[in-house]
Amino acid sequence: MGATKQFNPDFHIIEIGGTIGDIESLPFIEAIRQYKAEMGYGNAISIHCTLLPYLPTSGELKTKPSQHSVNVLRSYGIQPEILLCRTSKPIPKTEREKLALFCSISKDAVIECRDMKTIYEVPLALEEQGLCQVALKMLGVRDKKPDLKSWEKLVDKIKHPTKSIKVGIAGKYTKLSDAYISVVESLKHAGYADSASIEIKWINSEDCVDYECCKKELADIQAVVVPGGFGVRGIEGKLNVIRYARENNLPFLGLCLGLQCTVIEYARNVLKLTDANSKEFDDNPTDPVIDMMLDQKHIKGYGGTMRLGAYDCHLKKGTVAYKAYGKDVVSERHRHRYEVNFEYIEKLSKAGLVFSGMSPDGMLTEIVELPKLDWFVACQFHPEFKSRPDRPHPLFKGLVDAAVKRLNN
Amino acid sequence: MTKYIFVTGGVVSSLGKGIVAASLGRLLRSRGYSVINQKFDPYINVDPGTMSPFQHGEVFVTDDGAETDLDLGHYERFTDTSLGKYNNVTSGSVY
Repeated sequence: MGATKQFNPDFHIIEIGGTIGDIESLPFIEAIRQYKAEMGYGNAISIHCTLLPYLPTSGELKTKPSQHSVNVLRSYGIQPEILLCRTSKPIPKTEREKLALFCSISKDAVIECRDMKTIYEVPLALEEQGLCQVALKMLGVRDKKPDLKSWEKLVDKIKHPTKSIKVGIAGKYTKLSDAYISVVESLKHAGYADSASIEIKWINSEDCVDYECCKKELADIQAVVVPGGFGVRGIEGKLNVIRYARENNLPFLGLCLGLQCTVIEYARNVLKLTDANSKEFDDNPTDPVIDMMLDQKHIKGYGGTMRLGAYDCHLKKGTVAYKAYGKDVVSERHRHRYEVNFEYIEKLSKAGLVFSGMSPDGMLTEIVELPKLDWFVACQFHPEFKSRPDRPHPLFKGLVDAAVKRLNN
Repeated sequence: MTKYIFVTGGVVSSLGKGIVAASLGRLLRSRGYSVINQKFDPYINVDPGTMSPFQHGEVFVTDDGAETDLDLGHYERFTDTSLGKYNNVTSGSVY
């Protein structure tokens, strides 16, 4: 609760991870109980989210799992004030009344949350269901008219795309899309601005180790992203993806490890340093174009030890990156342990790779690009963390713009 | 005085509690109120930095360099704010 003291907000929303009934979350649940008791009625409420499964055989939404779940929560001493039900169908009046009665929740506090086309529609749907009104009433706070105009406009735009583009994401964790959720969202945000819906093609980098297979994987997409990651698995596949993008002018964005792979690929195939590699993957390559950052070399353990968080990046005037951002200095979030080996920057530059963004001291590579291609940019940082639905990140915007252009041609 | 709203989940995981919490944050903000969104995670690791993305999903990095739960990404995107290490509390960081 230290955050409340520090920021003193009107409202503090606290989400408890996990599912009620798991033993791991018990200490947090007990903390809520104590807090609610101490704060007194009207100062703290809890919202319990449940699922109403639909049984096609009986054509019913079933309320029993929700009732049980509320019972478990009660056994911990917490009576939720609001029940929020995820459902694929509208909740009939009788089921709503049943839930209210058996969960001891007022009828207007049983809130329906239907599956939406886009997650950004959820605030509007919950507003329509009166979630905020009910919560404010229970907390004794005056309701005000919300200003949701720009959000409504955004959702309208999301729901009415005029074109569809296919963007590949080539990574190691493609079976679980949550592993790259911010990357996916950033691509979508950029699509919204162009009225384009984005279809993601998940490309397992291990399937691209063979160049012919890689070509086939990339044949039907308009752009490709090589996102961040760690470890050697799938690296050769990522290098193939980048080579294909570079040789075929396929719009490309490399993130973090994606930048490091871009540099390795350029060193190997353009500079002809065939043994160029990162010290992360090879202890002693002939050409260590990617090396551990100097201040990282003494660190032995993993976890919380990387170069983390926001750092400034200086952009070189006239470059693609500079034009995209429209300013000299940008702040971006980082999470890495390795960097481009400074000793190779001159050689790589001479061979045509443009170093368009550097750390303020000019030592650490932040952005590289090939300006002759439609969009070929890689960055050491993670732009995906700063994209907003109504304000796409310039680097994702550039990629999607180029993809749209490719689609039209 | 700050008012508290707790969000819990039942029946199954991956219900989208994070999106509900983020949406409520948006709705309160659009009424002109100030809001903090915070996530309590019941795992023993201090942060999700070294957990497998297969199990945990993305590690979301904040401006102040915290490696946090991906729900913070939803909070930032829905409420258009910049969060920090205070916004994600884990069992591991409490004990």
